[in-house]
Amino acid sequence: MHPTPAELLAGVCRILSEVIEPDLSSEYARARSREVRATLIQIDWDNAGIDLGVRVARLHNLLVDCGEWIDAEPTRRAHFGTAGSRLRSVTSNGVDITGGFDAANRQRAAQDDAIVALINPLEDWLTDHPDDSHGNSLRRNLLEHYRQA
Amino acid sequence: MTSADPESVALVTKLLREFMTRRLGESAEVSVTGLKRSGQGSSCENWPFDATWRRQDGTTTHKELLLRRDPPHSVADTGRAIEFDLLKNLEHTSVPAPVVHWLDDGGTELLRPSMVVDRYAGTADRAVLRDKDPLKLADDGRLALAREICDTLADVHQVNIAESGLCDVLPAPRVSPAEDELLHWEQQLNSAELEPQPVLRWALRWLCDHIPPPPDRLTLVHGDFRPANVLVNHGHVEVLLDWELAHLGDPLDDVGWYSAPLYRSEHFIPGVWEQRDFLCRYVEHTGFEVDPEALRFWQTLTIFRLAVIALQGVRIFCEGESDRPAGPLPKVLTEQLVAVLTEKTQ
Repeated sequence: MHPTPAELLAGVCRILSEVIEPDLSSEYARARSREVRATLIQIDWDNAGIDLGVRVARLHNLLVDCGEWIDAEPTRRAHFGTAGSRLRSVTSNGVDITGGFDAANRQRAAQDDAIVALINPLEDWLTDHPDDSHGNSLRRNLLEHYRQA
Repeated sequence: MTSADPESVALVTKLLREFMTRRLGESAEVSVTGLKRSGQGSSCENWPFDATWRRQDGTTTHKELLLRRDPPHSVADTGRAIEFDLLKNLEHTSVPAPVVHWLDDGGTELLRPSMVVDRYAGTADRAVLRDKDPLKLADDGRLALAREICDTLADVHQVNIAESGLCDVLPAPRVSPAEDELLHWEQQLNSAELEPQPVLRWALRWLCDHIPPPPDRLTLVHGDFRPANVLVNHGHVEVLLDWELAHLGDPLDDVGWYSAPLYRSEHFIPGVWEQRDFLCRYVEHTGFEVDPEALRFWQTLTIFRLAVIALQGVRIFCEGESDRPAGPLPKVLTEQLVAVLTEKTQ
């Protein structure tokens, strides 16, 4: 398929740069046009949907791991309370990345929401149990996921 | 453009002339020329112009001025009146702050909250200290400027906030500077995020767990101190710009902002002007101690703030209220916050 999304936007950027901007008399408008070009090239347009699907699937697996770790011990399950329930709810139906970009994006938002609920109980748990190597490992993996995302 | 368009040069020129006439009198015969909208400024619109008017003694004054006007939706929430009063009070100090003339705080005369300040010669370039040397200062000139920038920050922090009247202009922190700032930026995150932000929420937790004790003394904090806001003329600091985020607080707030990892390549000169050189000179000039743990907190808060500011830009862009395009949160901010968060488990 040509032009690919990236090729199309590269062409649009070239037109902005070589045709539109030289004829703009407003410094303000030229600055905005340059920002438009800089913003457009930030995105890997050709792979945006695929990357989102991979990200949702990867985080799903991490959340499943977290859920299993939480449920493996009654005191831990009690400590995480509603955060653990939310985690189970987000992972209960598996992951489906065939529903298009919007559906995958909604799954990602729900996953992120579950992670936000997990943060304080997880930090509290690891403060009280600094030698919980599995817990520390899960925390590292989650943060590594967001570093790469 | 219609005559009611707040971006119309003709309309703003007319309003500006009327605005100045109301302050200088009909007999001043104010003329406003050369008004245009500069491409710079994210939290404030900048409109340079020239003005001429007749003084009461019959002589004519010509001034190069700058209209600073709030955009429709500003990412900084400092009222123009506070900034105006702050700059008025700084005129009597050694801090190179812009001279302010007139204020339209309610935006009733110039369509949005605005102030008119002196316009200065020079260039504000965020890369001024980098090897590419955009102002052609050469190695010695860049090092001298880096030191002067450090001294300027020391000057800001050494302003006597009681004697200069700043205590009456800027509110003091309610609890401690760190707690106040953290609460403020958490509220900003709450109103900015369009979707959950796990890394920022995780960083918030880290910051809550690492709040430093209050400083020995409250100082004026510029709030956005970096070369991008320093106007340089002939290799020297001409004036320190953009005071919208100024407040009373912990001097390490500015030191952390300046030395945050994100800015290291722009604010320091490898092998010549490193963070330790900056801190040594700063300590020498101010006599303030720099606690490494507290500095780490303020550096991390800096990254957090920048991420929130980026999200504010995303929100107003997505809502169609800004003509500045905004993409997803820059990856470098996420990476640097994760680096802080993973330190203890490495």
